[in-house]
Amino acid sequence: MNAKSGRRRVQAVLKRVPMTLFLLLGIILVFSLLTGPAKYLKLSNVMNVINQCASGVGILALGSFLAICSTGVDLSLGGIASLSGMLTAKLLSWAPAPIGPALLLVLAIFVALAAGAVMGSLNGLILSRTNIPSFIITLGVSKICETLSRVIAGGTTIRVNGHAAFEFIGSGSLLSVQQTTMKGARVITRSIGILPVSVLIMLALYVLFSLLMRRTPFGTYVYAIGGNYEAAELSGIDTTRTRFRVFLLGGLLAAVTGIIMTSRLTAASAANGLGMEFDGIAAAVVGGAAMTGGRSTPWRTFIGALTISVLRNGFSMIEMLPAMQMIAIGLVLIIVVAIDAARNRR
Amino acid sequence: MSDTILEVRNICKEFPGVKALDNVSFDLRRGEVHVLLGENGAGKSTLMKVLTGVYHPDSGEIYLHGKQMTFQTPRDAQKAGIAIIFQEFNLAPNLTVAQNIYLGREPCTRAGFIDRAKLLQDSQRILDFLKVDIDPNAKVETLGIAHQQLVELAKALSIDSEILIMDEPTATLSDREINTLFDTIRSLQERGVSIIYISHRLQELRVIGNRITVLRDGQSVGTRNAGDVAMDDLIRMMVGRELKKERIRSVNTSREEYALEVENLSQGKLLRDISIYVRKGEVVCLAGLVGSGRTELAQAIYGITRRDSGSVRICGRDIPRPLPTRCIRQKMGFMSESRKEFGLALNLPIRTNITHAGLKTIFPSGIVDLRKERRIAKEFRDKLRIVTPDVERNVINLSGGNQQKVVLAKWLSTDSEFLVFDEPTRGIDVGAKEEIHNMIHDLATQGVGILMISSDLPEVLTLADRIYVMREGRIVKELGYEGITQEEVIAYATGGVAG
Repeated sequence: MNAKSGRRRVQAVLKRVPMTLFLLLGIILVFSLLTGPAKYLKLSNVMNVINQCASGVGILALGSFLAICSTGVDLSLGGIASLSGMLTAKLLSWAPAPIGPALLLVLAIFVALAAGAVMGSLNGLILSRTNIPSFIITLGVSKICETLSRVIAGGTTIRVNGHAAFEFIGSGSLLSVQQTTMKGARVITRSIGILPVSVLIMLALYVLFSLLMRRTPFGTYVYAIGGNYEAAELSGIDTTRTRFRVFLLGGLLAAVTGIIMTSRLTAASAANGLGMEFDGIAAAVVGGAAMTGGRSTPWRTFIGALTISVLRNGFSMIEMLPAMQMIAIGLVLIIVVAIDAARNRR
Repeated sequence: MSDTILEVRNICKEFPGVKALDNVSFDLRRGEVHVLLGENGAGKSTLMKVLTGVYHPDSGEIYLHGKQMTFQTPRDAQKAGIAIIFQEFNLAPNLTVAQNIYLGREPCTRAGFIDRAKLLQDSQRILDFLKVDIDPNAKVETLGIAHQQLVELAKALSIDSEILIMDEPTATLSDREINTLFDTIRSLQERGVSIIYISHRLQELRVIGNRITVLRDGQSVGTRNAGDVAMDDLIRMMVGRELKKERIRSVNTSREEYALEVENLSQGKLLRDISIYVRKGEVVCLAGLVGSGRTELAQAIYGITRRDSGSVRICGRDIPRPLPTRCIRQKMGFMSESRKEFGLALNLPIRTNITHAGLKTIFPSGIVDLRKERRIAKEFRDKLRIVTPDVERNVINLSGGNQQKVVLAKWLSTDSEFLVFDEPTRGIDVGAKEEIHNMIHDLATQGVGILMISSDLPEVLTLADRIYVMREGRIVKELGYEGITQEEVIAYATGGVAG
């Protein structure tokens, strides 16, 4: 093995590392310089970012990725998350409940997931029966979910009080460390969860979907549809069924997001989750998905989702106004896609 | 070797306005290579699509092993043992070679996961059989066109089919790869696989074919044994009709000035070192088979695609970095072969379509004067006899011939001095065809330089002052109009004679 082939192997390995990872590290570097590494990189903030990812764009982004990979787009994910989160809260705040709290929790989660499945299937069904672009269908379904969520809320925020098992999903941790900080003369000891349940759920889902995309016919078909739709059809793939499943899975993932969101906030308002579909699309695209389909992987999408979460967290750390944050995220998205387009042209 | 395994009887297939297949019958014997030969549009590809369940015939029967079959979907035909390698690539570029070969038929473990070891092994075995050195784990998009074609072949072989259809398999292959392909075909034959082989390349037919059936205008003209048929006979069968049409252009009206000068233009493997010129007032035709690079040449001139090298002058001025807008400024017009995709805004009225390319010259102030626009539209409607009561009618409601006239009006309204017509009369009826021929003639007489691409040889012969014949991205012959025949043009286009 000579030096030249060695270098080629290094290049080959580097080629497999997604560009987005460097982008993410670059952004972390910039923020830690802006806010001071000690403050920015301390454990509580790091866990904060990861938790925000799990209860925010992290899981939902998988749904965005699936839809985009099969040449579609799913704009209903935020609405579904909102509706599922609202249903969870409504059921858990049922008082006096006719069933015990444990059973109620199971029922609430089941109903929330079922709502996600129904809405996802609605997307898939309309898509398979008509020629309407998924952009329009999911926009419509999103509005349906949003309105249902509002009706259930009845104009208020629905609080879930005193349901420890439910709160564990969004805020609990399997392992915690004690961290002491000095605030003036006072010593504050805080417990920081380093194995949060929601993060474990998110990671488990990424492992599952990575297997699904790489090791099952379904995953291959999704990529094939994105790569060359006609070839997929002529190869005898049932493209209708595959795309139906994509949107069904998207609805389920959004429902999981909604449940975790409500658990973390111990409350649901109709505004929760709205606009999250755009964060999901941004995460998928930053992760390397092409709107023409067939590109990127679940893990790349994960890096994209982390990037979005890091950006949001970092902008709050430097006390940027929320409106300005949207502008900054929008700019990052456009820059990433422009760089990608420039690289592909060569 | 004489038992018939596939028989096609009296197949008819009609598309709006075209009889694509007219009572076609043909049979395939076990282990033979049966060549289907015919000009562009003769119906070969339609027949194959009927055989593979992509199209459904209007009438006629298909018998497989003497049993009547109907194929609803490509899947049905696959199950019956008929595999096809389509002319256009049907691979997913983002998947690996192995994934593509077994797409839709992945070997699975009991748990429902793809059995990747078996997938790789099986793919490798087929690739080895084909004697090609392709990594089954490579993504298809990283392969060259020739290797992609071989992956298609591997995919077809993996179906374990009895009947294999190859549509122009050698179009993208080098000589060495063609030899490999022919070796493969022979070993498939020994295994009892029957092959329907579609090709334009006359030389190779007799090397690989057992029998040759010629199609023309959707009809089967006849079947010959490859061993004892003369090349001339095949060409005559392909061209057929002794249509001695009157030439429209009796005098050559070409002038001194050049409308187009192209020197040493190259673009990858599609266009190689092309030098042509068109004078003002001259009608020049580009003849050649589909895929010979005619449309690619026109698109490179017009700046739709980038050229690698060479120079283009339009109406006397160099266009170093061509773009459609720059070409239009130099008074060039381009009528694309697919007018619906590239030539017209179908959902807009005739009026706006006509002024689309010339908005800046017609309305120098930048404000569209509706009254003026309507007057111009009506003027062209009357001049070109576009059959419509109202120029406000949307273009989508017009017949093909009238749509083509609207595209023509669009370029005339910009006072073009150099016009490219890519298949100007494809899919339009005989009457409108005649009219468009006369218009092209009139335009040339008025001093417009015209470059016409046409697969319709009688059309070329009635209109052209000069003909360039293209083959495989090169200009192989320049012909004057006097005394040339269709057979001669075909011979150059197919390589039937040394260019």
